[in-house]
Amino acid sequence: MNFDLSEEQQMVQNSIREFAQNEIAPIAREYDEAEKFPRRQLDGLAELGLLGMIIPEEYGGAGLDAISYAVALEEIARADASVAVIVSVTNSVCCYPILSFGTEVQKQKYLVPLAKGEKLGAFCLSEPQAGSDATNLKTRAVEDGDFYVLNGTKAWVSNGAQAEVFIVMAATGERDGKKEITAFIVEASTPGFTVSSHEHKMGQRASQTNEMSLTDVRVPKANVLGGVGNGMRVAFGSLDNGRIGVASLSNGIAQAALDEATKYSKDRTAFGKPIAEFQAIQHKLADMATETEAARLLTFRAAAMKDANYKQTGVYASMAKLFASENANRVCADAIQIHGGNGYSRHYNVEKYYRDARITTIYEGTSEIQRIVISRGILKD
Amino acid sequence: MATETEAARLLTFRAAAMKDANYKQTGVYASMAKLFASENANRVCADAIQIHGGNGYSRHYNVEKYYRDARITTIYEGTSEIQRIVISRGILKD
Repeated sequence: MNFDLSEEQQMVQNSIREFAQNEIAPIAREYDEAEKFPRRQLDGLAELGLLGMIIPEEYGGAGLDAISYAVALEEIARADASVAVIVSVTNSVCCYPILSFGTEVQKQKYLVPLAKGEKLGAFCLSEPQAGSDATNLKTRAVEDGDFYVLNGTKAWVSNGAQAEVFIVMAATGERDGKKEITAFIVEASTPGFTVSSHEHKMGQRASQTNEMSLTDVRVPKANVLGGVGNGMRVAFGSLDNGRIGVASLSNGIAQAALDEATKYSKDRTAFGKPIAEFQAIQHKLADMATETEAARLLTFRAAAMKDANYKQTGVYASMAKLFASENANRVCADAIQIHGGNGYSRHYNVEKYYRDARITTIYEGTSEIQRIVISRGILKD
Repeated sequence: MATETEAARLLTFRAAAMKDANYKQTGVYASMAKLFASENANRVCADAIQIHGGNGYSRHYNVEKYYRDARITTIYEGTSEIQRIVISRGILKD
């Protein structure tokens, strides 16, 4: 078992850390306050090849392995989780499904510009009344000649207002009393496909999250992704990368909070000495560091399994996502505690980390859903 | 229980791999592994008894023994409190 990053993975880590700390971290607060889309930061990451980092070079991507993907997202999230989630979404739930299920024509037309970072991707599954029970969706697609006509409403669409390429899940009929779901590639400019609202969120505020409306949206049959009725296969096929991505992002937030808390505890004095000299603080820091390292190892383990195409990758990706996201929330709460009243102030970064962490146990499968996936893995043996 | 036991195992293997490679930071990682794995064993055994209900409290079931066996692990070979001091020194000295 090899726990050390390869030379190439270390290069990825170093170059992204440098870019993220110099170009993303210093303006993260400003973008958060203004809910401003981080176009400049993304352009820089596109130049580094990170908007299609898990896509092979022949399709315009960087061709990185899953561990490099985890390392990269952690470093970006350490600087700003908003930027990391945008990168994670376009990679894991837009590029990757097209790579896995797309025809050669679809790959040339949509994947190549996405992977090069010339276009941004998004994914539309959730609806106002269908979250964890995603198959309960109400968006319908009806055949009409060479087209499908889509009608419905999609909720919680990350990158909604900025993306140019969307994967949209819609019901194309019923089979055995269950909805038959199909994935479609839909261009943002298609008439009837509109941004209906902008979510004002607690955290990760530079990442735009929108509700999208589909009113008689005509999508060519050539844009069906993965075949009619295979929508959930397309959706489930992206789960491993999505969950490894959110686990990595959570680790980045946790590490940033731990770093700030460590620094603060050395600077802040009470009763005549730095608070780092009190065991109450030392023990908190030790727990934060230990559990963040455990979260990172679970994430790298899942990524290594993904690279090796292991059948059990899904269960391990869920373990990583569950543990890393819950850990990020605990670590950020403790980082605020160590900062005392200052941690509650917008002058300190931990206040932002705490808000940014809160969504990680919810999106890309809630902690409750991850526990169901994991327990199924154990119980079936 | 499964997730945290896997995390404990990975921390332990990580420390062992560092030991094999003669890494300077092995001590801190060994403490992380010992702290997390022993605390986890206590949590997991407590939950295993809970899942067994009243039977878990009986000597007829193994979990009763596991729970007792686990209890010393956070104490011997350096208490959890001592491990936390070792780990925090590793962080704070940077």
